[in-house]
Amino acid sequence: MKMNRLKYPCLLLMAGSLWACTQPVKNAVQSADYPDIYPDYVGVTVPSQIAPLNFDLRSEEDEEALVDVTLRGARGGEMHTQSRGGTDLNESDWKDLLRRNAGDSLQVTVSVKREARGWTTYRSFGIHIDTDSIDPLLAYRRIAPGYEVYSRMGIYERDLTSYDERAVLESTQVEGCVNCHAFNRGNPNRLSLHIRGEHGATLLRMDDQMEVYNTATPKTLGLCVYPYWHPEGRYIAYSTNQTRQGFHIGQKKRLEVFDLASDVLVYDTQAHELIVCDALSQDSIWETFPAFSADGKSLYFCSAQAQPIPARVKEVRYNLCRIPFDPATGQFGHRVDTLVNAVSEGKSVSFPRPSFDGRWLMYTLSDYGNFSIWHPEADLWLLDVQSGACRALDEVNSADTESYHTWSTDSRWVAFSSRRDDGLYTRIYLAHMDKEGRMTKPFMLPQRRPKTYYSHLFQSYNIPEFTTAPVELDKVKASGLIRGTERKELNVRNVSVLDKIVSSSNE
Amino acid sequence: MKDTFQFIYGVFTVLFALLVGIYFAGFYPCHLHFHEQFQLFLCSADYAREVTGVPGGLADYLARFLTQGMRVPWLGGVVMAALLTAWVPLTQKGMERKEGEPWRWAFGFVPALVALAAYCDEHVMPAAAVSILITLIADRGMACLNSAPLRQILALFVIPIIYMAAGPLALVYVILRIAAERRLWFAGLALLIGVLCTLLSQYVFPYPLSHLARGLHYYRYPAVFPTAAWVMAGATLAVILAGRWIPRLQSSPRRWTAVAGGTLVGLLTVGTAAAFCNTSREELLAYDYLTYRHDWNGILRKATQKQPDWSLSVTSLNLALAEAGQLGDYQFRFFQRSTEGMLPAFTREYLLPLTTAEVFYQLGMINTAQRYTFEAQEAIPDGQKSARCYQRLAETALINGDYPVARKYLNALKKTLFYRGWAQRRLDLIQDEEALTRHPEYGYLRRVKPSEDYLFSDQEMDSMLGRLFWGHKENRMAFEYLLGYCLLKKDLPRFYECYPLGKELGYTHIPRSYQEALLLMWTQQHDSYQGMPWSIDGTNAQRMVEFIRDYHAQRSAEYMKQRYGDTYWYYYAFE
Repeated sequence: MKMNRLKYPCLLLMAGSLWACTQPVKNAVQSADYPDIYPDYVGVTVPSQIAPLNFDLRSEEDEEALVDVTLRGARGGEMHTQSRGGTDLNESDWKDLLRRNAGDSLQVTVSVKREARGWTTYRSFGIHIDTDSIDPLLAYRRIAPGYEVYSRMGIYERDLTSYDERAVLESTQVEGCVNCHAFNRGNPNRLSLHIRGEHGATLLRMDDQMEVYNTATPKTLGLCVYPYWHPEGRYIAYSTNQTRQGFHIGQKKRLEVFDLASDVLVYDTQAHELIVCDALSQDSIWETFPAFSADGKSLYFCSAQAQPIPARVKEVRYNLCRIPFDPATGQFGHRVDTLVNAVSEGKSVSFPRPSFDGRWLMYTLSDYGNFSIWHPEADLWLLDVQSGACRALDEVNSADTESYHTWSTDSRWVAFSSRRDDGLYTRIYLAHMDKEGRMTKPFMLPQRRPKTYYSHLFQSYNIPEFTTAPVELDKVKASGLIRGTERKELNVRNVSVLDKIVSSSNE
Repeated sequence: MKDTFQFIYGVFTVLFALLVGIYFAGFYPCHLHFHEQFQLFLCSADYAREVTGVPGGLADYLARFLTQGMRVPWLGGVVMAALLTAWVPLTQKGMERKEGEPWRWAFGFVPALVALAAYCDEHVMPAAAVSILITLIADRGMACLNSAPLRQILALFVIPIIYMAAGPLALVYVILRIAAERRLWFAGLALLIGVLCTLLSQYVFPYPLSHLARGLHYYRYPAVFPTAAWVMAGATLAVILAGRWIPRLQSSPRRWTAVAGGTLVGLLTVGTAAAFCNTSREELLAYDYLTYRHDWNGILRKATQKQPDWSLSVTSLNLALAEAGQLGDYQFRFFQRSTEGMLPAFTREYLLPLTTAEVFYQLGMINTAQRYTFEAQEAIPDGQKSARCYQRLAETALINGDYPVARKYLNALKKTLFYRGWAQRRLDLIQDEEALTRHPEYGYLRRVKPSEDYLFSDQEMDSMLGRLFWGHKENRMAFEYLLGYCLLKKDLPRFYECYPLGKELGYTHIPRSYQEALLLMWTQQHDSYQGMPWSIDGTNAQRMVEFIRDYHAQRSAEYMKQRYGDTYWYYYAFE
């Protein structure tokens, strides 16, 4: 009887011991190579709050291999883990280790035991822990990288300090495609969100207020997209685009998205009116991708000479321009500067994103057009706003597409999407930028079981945006508003500056 | 006596199962294929978690698991027979049937017969039936508990669980329990819990209340009210409650009444199947299925028996003709639906684009096939993925040399029951570039796919086909599609311009449709055949003369169709 009573605790204890039991790394062959791990975390720089950088062995043959990993902090502390196919890092130990070694690095030693070959110990690699903190959350859209039709998709929010992801709003709730989301400098209470489809609308969340708008007016080209908030929160710059798609017959590119016309305009949230400036809505010029400068006193945008479409689609190229903006009056200045004359280099600028400290501006450079997400040659570039110099960010670029990018609120971290993983499904990468504009090797958004997670995920990430706190959106209310029929109509205020405009090139 | 009745009932229940199985496997298999092709059941914990994590998720998961079997007709028949037959004893038990009451026994088949009628619509999802079965099983489980307070408390406690398992059809369970307990407080609490479950779920799950209240998985189109599911539920409730309350017959049942009841069930089964069977839909789905299986001879046999007339079926037929090398000869022997029956324009749906994708794939327009497949999959109304689409997406990536993407789709297919072997063979191919180049299908398509890049334009399909053929002159199908397309567009100058391109393709004779087009062109400009540069068959030349004569005589359209319906001239003049 006594024996029986003890049987189960004993069995549990034995199972626990077996679980805890790790095999010692013995007679290991030393390899001069770094381990082939997925994601590639060799030599990356991470913020001290980041979720554990679990990784797997890349080769499918190594799925059952025993992986022994030791992480040693330069300032002390050590972590050890052993599991099949990859790592399973303890979150709390990881955080302690990172906290202790912030400003320094971890040395990671990976040993792999394969049935046939025994143990191999690979060359150790470092993970640098930067003291610059990162915003705790990253919002993005997840959608299948399709063409015109969309299935289930949504805006999601990822806690960067853990693996938790939750939906902000999904297509099933609004029976439409949710896209073009923008927060005001990471403020989750200031959100502009566009919905396409039967219930098309723009949802605007201003602190406690939530309203839906019909941003198309008889005086403008159509619905407002590509939002960017003014730093003071009163204005939102949009572009309005008559967009079409073309489909490549050849193999390298799948899709071409181009405009037949586009203008830039600014929405005044207090006056409930769209400010249309003639300098930003010219028929012969296509203006798109607006972004307010960090001080709010100018508006960046991309500008291209109109071309016959689709015949000369490959000759549509955009420069990066800037026009002064007076937030007090909602008036535009009389000078348009060309900051990056990409056209003269046979290139095209898209997605300009100024850093919030006003020092830099990151943009995507591709061969032509504005929808660089489908251009494998698209790379990230950095403009020094002070000197006007720009350079390719070779530290973070790859042979495949780099496109959507965003700054953390302290302008020290950048999140961007890249197709480098498999050539089709975009994934999020994070990288640090120092005060001189040097970037570190980017690392892929961590997951608990990265190989399984990303191989099972048949959606792309796009439009990443850092947020400083969780987005507390009343989804039921938002769904009701969007699926309802009421839409606030917008007034249009025309501002004329074109006859006084002075253009210049800042090459 | 009791055994005799049980035997008779058993025989007729088996007969019902057989009739249902034979009906679906033998007469309606393409409806079952349709279900199977527009889902992707993965044997993985993540998938299970994802599917079961919403109201009705367990029923949906079980239904998706069963739907996999519909890939094989006999197994699909077994699945449908099992689903519908399981309904019968659950209904009869719910009626609290006294053993040996034949009419009450026969009455217990009504919900299953309603379900048989409902499942003649391919958009009624198997999850609806599974949901109702779950509620009936739960009800029977509760009925087994003898202690009334325990049963009543437990019955209330499990309502949220049943709601999560079966969705709003948990109402069947709630009503049955209320009817069984007959306590006002119980009824009030049960309804309150049911309503609260539905109301609160909108705050937890990403669906509007209206969708949650009508059920997420009962009908393929989430925006459409799932009438069939609720009618099945209503019929089940009505039969069970009526069965309980209809007074029992006083006289002892006789064997003949049991046999008569069983025969009636059999007749109603056949009658229901016949009345609700949508043969034209089944025929359309059959064309799609045969196209998917590359059963070109099957398509030709089917078309010979009955002329296809939908865009999808005509597109399948033209593809089958091209694959059999008969497009030039026999295209106009069959009804033609303009260019929409050859290369239909893209539509935002999921069936026709897949057939069109097959045409582009066979032509070598791999990127276009990939796009149509991707879009078709995205257009699946209930947001599911499709094993069939994954197969084609993997193949197009394989042909394009996008191996990481191909591997991604193939690895997903490796997690299925029926596609893992197929996927593994393709994964092996990725490892062996030479084998891939030698592969009769992929190797050939790699060679003939467009080597130059330009943007797709459905307004310039003939130009694209021309460029496709010009780039790879071994692509005879591209040439025949080019000429066929020009003929369907009635663009004779373009046909005439392109016709000489086929000189090197090794034709032993001028295909009949081309002869007819050439004759038509010639006679539009000449009074006699003298000097005609092509070797035209004498019979065709004579028929052309007769056609012109009858045409000028303004013969009736019916007469012309009867006499010349198999010619290009008829299409040109009358279609």
